[in-house]
Amino acid sequence: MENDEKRGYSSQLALAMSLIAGSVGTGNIWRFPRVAATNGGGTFIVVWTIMMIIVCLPIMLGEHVIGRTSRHGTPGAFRDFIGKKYTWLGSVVATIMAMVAAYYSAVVAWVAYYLGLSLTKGYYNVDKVEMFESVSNGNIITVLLFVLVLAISAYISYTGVKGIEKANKIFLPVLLICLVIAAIRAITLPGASVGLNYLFEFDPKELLNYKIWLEGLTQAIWSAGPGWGLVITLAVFSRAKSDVNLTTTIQVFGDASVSLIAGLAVIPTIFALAPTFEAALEVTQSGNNGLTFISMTQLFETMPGGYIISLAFFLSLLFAALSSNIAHFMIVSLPFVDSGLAKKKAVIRVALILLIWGLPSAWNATFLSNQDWVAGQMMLVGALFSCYAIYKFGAKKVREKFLNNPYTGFKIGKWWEFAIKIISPLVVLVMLLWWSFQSIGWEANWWNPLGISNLGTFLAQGALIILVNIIFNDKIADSVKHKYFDGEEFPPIPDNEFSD
Amino acid sequence: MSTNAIIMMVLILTFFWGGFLAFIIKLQKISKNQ
Repeated sequence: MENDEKRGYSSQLALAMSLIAGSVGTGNIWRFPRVAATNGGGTFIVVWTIMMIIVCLPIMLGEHVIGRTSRHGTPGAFRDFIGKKYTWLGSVVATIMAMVAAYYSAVVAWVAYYLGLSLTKGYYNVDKVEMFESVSNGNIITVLLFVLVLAISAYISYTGVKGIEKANKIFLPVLLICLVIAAIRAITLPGASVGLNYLFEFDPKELLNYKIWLEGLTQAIWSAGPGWGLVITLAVFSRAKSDVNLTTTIQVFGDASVSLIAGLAVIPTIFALAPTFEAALEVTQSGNNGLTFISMTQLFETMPGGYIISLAFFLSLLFAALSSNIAHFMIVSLPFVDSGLAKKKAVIRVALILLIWGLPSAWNATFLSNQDWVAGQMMLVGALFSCYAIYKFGAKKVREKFLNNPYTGFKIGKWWEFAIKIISPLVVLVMLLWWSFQSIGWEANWWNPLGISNLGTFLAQGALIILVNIIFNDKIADSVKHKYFDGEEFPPIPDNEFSD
Repeated sequence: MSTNAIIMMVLILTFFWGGFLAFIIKLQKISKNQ
């Protein structure tokens, strides 16, 4: 296994598929359709497309280079790329992803629970709100599923790149086939055209609406994955001659393509089956959990062929979530392996940390909401760290030396340097500030660090994570020893690139 | 379904799915040549 891992991915396509599997998660299936439908449909999709190309792609290209050149998990990657004193940037990213992996495992457990309920028709003829409340709060089966999800993620992560490749060979095709089945059924329902109109109609005047731009950007960033450490970590195992530009672009296009199929599966179903147009609108505005676990289950119960479609829907959701969770696990465990810990020990240690951190989320949906809010904001901070690393190293050097290397299938133009230095950080910063200001109005005491989704809790938890990682910066930096692909770096970072 | 929505749907699906498949074909070609 160790030798297999040293050889990295079996092919460039396997790398691209692993990147897609990491990116595609619940956000593509339960968030994209409803956000697109409630924010201008076709106009939103145009804006989201622009954001994917000019914000997400440039950052992810940069992150691919950081992972490829350093051959380390996120702390070691930042250390080797821009210097020892910046190691904390990478360890902050790893800490955020530990937070994500902990609560996201609980989300995967909900989805697994609902797949079981779909199979047994367990949510038929019952109050859907009460059902979701009972699944997401104080439910021992949910907790057991959470432990099982963690164990599966840990095991596949332990098997390394080869194991992930094998898992994705099942997860991705099943996910896609299930979504396509659900989409075909949705668009052939009588009245589905109302939903399709709502999802795709383009109104150029709406391009002046700033809210659509911010929502488009939010969806692009929270779905594709810049700032998560995902690309940095998976690129560690890429082959020396694999194509950074093509594999990253495939990741972005693949992520977007899955979102569009999910949109075709969800929105026409809602508009075709809701009793009135207003009722359909209400469903799209009911939030991620409300849409998936309450409204969609109501529709599955009444629609012709709903049993099969519900199985396809929840199975695709489960595989999307699980494949992302495995990638999250990998992001958190790799720094431990870098520190010289045996892989088995590292995986067990991470599993225990995530078990303790995630149990409150598995038991209580309010705690999970808090973690989701803080992690979502901190991912934006992570994206800013990546932009800074590229700026510090030199965007021109990165583009000329690493992106446009002799093995690439297509060259990246100078636009990338402008995007990574100016557009991406500026736009991400605006988004971070916008959500922060928005959150002031969500709860009475916006400053309260013990709030659920307010500014106070984000600032308190974010500051704590950053502070602890700054304090332990040197210790973490010195702990990074193990390196993948010794002797097969491409191209190596010259020694004089380090600032200290 | 309105013409506006049909055009938009076709354009956006072609852009992302077409791009996705075209890039994969290109990647496979490069891989073979290496």
